[in-house]
Amino acid sequence: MRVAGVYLDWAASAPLATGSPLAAGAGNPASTHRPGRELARQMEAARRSVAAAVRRPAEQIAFTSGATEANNIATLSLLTGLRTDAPGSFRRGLVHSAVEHPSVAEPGRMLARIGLPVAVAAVDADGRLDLDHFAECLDEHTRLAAVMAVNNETGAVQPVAEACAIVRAHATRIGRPIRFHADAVQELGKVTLSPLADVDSLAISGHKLGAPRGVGALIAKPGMEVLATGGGQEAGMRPGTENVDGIVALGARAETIAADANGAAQTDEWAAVRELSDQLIAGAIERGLRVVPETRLDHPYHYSPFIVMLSIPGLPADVLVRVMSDAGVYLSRGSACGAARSKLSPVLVAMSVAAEVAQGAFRVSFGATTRAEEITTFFHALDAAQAQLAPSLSAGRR
Amino acid sequence: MLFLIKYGEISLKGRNRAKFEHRLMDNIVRRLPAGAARARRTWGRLYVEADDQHAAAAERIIGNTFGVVAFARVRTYDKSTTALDRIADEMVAELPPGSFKVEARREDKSFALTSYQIACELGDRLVRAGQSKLTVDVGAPDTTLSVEVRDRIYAYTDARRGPSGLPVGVSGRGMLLLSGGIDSPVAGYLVAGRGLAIDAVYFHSYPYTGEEAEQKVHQLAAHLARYMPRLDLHVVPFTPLQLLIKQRSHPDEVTLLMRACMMEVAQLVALRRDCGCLVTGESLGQVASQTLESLRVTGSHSTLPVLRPLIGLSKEEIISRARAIGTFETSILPYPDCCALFAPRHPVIRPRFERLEQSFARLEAASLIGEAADEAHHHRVTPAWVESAAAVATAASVAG
Repeated sequence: MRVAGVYLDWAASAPLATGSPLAAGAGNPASTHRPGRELARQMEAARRSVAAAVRRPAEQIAFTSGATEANNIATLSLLTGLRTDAPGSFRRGLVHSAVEHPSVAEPGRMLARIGLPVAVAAVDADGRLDLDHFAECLDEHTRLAAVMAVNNETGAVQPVAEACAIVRAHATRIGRPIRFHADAVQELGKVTLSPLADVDSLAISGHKLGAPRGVGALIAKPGMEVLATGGGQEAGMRPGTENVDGIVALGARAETIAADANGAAQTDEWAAVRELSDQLIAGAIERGLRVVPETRLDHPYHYSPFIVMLSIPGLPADVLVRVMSDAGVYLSRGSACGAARSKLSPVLVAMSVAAEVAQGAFRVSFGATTRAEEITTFFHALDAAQAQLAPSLSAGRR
Repeated sequence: MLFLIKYGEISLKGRNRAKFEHRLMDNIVRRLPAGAARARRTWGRLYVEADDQHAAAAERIIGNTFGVVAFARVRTYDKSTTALDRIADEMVAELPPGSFKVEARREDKSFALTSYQIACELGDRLVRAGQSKLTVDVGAPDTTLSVEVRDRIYAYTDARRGPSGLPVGVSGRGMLLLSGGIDSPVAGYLVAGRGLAIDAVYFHSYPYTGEEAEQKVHQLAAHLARYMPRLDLHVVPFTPLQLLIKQRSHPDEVTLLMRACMMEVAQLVALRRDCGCLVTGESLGQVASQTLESLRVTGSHSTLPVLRPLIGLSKEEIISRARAIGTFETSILPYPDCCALFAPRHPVIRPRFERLEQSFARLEAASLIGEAADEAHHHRVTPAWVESAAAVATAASVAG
């Protein structure tokens, strides 16, 4: 299914894949009767497809409403060990990167409010985790570490394997297990998952892969306790009747990804999208736009080619996004409107991006079917937008 | 269903009294579908008779109509000698178990019993009929049963307070400068309570402010519309003026010049709508454009009087009023009504009047001001009732 106009906001949501299936039949997959069993069978088939795509056993896949829920389940799992009569139980620490999605950062703030030790590991100006600082953040209380695989705003590929190795070594030193969680939303189906082989849990989202909105999965090695309880669905990891239609569609998308066993198609797609992002970045520089972060130009392979953040310093990104939208080109802004530092993207603030650049930061993101002509159209629209908006940028009388 | 309505302030207004009473009745009846309700005035009270289908909507409207001091659903009885028996028969079921008192009022002095006698006789009948569930407590009763002997006998329990004030329209019409903020809806509410009918004007700077910001203003207007018989919103395309100001003025003066232009556009729209004043949400010293010096500048751009009902209120007082009238939650939605591009870092706080007038003259904005007023988009606002399906029907009919 294509979006009318030039859709360059795939990191927000991918268009629904053509021929996306629905579950066959009515009923509840927990029911004992035949229709119920049939739904359960379809759901388990989808589970096996997702398992193959992420290269994990099917038992580790718990379907959720999306990655936000999966990240929340993983992060808030720390709460399950708290006991008011045992103050020591509150020393269960979380360490996460400064560029996590709000579905990790906000639960992190909640844990900190409750009194758990939460440390935020800095990123460098390139938007990638500062591994030295990350190691410093770990202490004897750390029980969970969370580092996203690919940043959803800048496309920065995080050194997850290295961070995970640091955590493993630290766990050995303190003699306690530490779980490592990775938000893999912008990675699955786009970047090879091999660096994530050792992590304990992963969050994925269906609608970033062409499945419908409202489905995702938490993939977790055994031993994660969860806060929400209920009917025991999804092996107790995510209670509530499953979104079988979404799950079946997600299974179909996962099957496509899993079929690419040696990653050949992915490599081809990566190369094709790399060309698009190169074309975009070159055109942007030609027009005096800023690439965020600028270090991307020196280390292009530290960034997913599917996501490019650009900026017109001084032009609030939401204004540009509106004008581009009127021209039929769909983008995301990087920060909320307003000059206040508090309204800038926390990701860009963590990277110490100058306020003016952060204010003007917008995201262009690609999918499998994005074509070079769409980049050309993007630039035509951008030129027109800049001409239209120029009067608002010129300074008045001094 | 019959409603009895008490009104206060308007009974003080001498020769204008009839005009005010008619306005009050009209403000209630015209907000209901045609034929759904009738109103009459007699013996110092208003009565609104609404058909059953629209009783709930009528009640809500009466409760939000300026000029109404108190109101109640009432039963009526002939002024016969057996009236008290019938009142007791019917009202015994309406009184909740517990204590009560009867408050009687005899406007028709030809009625056989005095107020005191009515209270005693009726109280006695009710206690007996109540079979020990009802007791009399004239000091602090749980429920008060009111009986008024006028052209007929009216009986009611739970009288409720209305918003008081003057009926909207008796003081003329004003043009409210409505932004997406907390203050201006409160300003509109306050002047409506002094009898001013309101039109609202909003300045929209697309694409520098988003559709969400305009939607928010529509929502605020819809909240405000609950308190008045009609509200019209004029959305002025302000971008050309905004850009002109940006290009031709010193950055520090941008906000003040923008507000000066807004006053001029608002006045043009106001005069076309037969408005006798402008209304703003300004409060002395709240922001740079609301210092005395700044108010002199902006105020000088309207020849109509500028009403500033919030001028002496603190932010806390304004917020508490915004909460009470239901606009606060909408006002704090995060859609700024002015783009950061046009917000100076160091706005001038104590402008020199003559200097600002020169700056304004240099804008040569007259033709764009005229165009902005010409291109204002007119919307009739549908009140945002939230309660029931009947209310939705009411709102729809008003919008029609």
